[in-house]
Amino acid sequence: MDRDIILVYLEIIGKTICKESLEAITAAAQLGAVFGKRIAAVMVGDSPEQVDQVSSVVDLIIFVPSEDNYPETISNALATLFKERKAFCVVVASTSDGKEIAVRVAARTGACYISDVRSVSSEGSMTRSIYGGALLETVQAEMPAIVSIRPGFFEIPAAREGSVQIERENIDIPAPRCRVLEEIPEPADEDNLDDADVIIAGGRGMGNAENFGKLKELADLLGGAVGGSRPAIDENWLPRNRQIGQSGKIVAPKLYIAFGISGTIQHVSGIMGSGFILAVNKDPDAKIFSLADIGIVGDAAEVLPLMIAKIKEH
Amino acid sequence: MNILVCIKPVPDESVDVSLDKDNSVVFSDASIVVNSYDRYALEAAVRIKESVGGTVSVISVSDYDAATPVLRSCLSVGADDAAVVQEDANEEREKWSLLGCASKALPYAPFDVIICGIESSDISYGETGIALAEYLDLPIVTRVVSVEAQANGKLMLIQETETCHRRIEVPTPCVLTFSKPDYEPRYPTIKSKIAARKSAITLIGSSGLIDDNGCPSSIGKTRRVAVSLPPQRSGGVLISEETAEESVNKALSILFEQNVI
Repeated sequence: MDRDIILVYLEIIGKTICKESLEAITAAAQLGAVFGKRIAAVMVGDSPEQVDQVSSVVDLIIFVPSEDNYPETISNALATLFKERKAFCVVVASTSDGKEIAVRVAARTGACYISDVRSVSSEGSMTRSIYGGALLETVQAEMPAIVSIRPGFFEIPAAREGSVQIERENIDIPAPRCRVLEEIPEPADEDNLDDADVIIAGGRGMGNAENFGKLKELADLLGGAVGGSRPAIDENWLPRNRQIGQSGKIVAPKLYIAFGISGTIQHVSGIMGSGFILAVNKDPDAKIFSLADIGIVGDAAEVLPLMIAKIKEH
Repeated sequence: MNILVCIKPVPDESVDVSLDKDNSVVFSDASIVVNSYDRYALEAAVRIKESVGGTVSVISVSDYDAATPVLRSCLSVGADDAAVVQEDANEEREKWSLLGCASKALPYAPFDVIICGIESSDISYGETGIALAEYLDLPIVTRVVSVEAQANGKLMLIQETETCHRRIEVPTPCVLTFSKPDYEPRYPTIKSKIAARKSAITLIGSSGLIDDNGCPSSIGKTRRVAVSLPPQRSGGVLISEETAEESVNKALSILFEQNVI
């Protein structure tokens, strides 16, 4: 039957299927439930060694052997599979590579494209952020569609009993035109922003790199991770993968402490799911206070060491 | 190298966006500016021109009057010429297909490199550069943070992803989408602003521009059915004691009391 399958691309980072792709499986399963479609996971690479991670949560695994798994190659493979299998939908995690792949497949197949989906309704409409997170738009797509899934909005699927069929599909993929000469990994995180119960975040109000560095001491004290707003990343006080907000990570810790962050919509739309928010800013009219459970009006660089000392005393 | 940079005029990021009682989107007064990632794209293009020679053209698919001041600001920071494709309401085409067709008709065409920002700050689809590359059948590298033109005519790029940086060599012609590099784009001088004010901006009509080469268009296939406000939070206690120490004590006593820490 035509258009009876949803393809989900599984991105491999290091040696495992990335968390964002597992979340995309859940989104695909929700679309599958609405429209009555089967879910096929697509893996591209030298071997499908990671199948155990997903074998119980999808209906089929399609493995495409390939020498590389860069976006150009993946896009070629997915566009071919989309046409051959007459897919109903292609679902991709909205990672850096995923966004590129999704648009390429959409442009090549003429399917419509919906980016950064954060929820799927029971009618199959999808919701995404616009204007830096200030508004949500809900869109209805004419299927078939290519959908990218915003990380952090769908659960990781729970493993079930069962095994799954693996189909090997040899696709003649043209040689890539872009040549990747070297891949330099980001230093591994010792603390993970995604899973942290406590996040200590700093912004421009920290003033300088030295003050900013002290956030780590508070984070260690509370067993948390350090993040920042865009100005802190632009000042190079923190690597880019630690940016919190619309163009960085969406987080939902139990406790979020913001030092010297004014609270632009782009930033606060990334912290709305937090359990408790404490904000420190010297401007009493800072926007962040309108959503913080507790606000302290004061110089963030002055408040931080006092807070560290008091918590140590406690 | 002849370089084309695609510019999207957007409301300044400080704009307050909200909904009125009919659920229509309303904006506070905000100036229309160059989308911030497009500024990085333009700066990268001007740096390539400065190192190996060539030209930098800028183009927008927009309303001519709205785009003119925005493109003038591009001319004042290194672009050599500017054009606007006036959107025609009857011609239901994606911006990227209009850009693709117009790119062939501009004075400095054919271009060796076309550069876009990774996404716009308003609707953030992030598809223009990538779809444009597919439409023109050119190689593309996304999320570039550094570019260098090599003697062999190829470009050496650094691409940034969440987990790594990749060093990539790409032949020209090609398309790049630019992320935030580790430098700030230049500012105009009074002299360059005055010169830009006198420059002509070419108007290109969209009708008749499309050379229907079989590229599929996805326009009209998604329909916005609702716009809503995201979940809101309300503010709690605002503490502003005599001294910072007193404020910290008060805040922490609440945190301890509520077992937050």
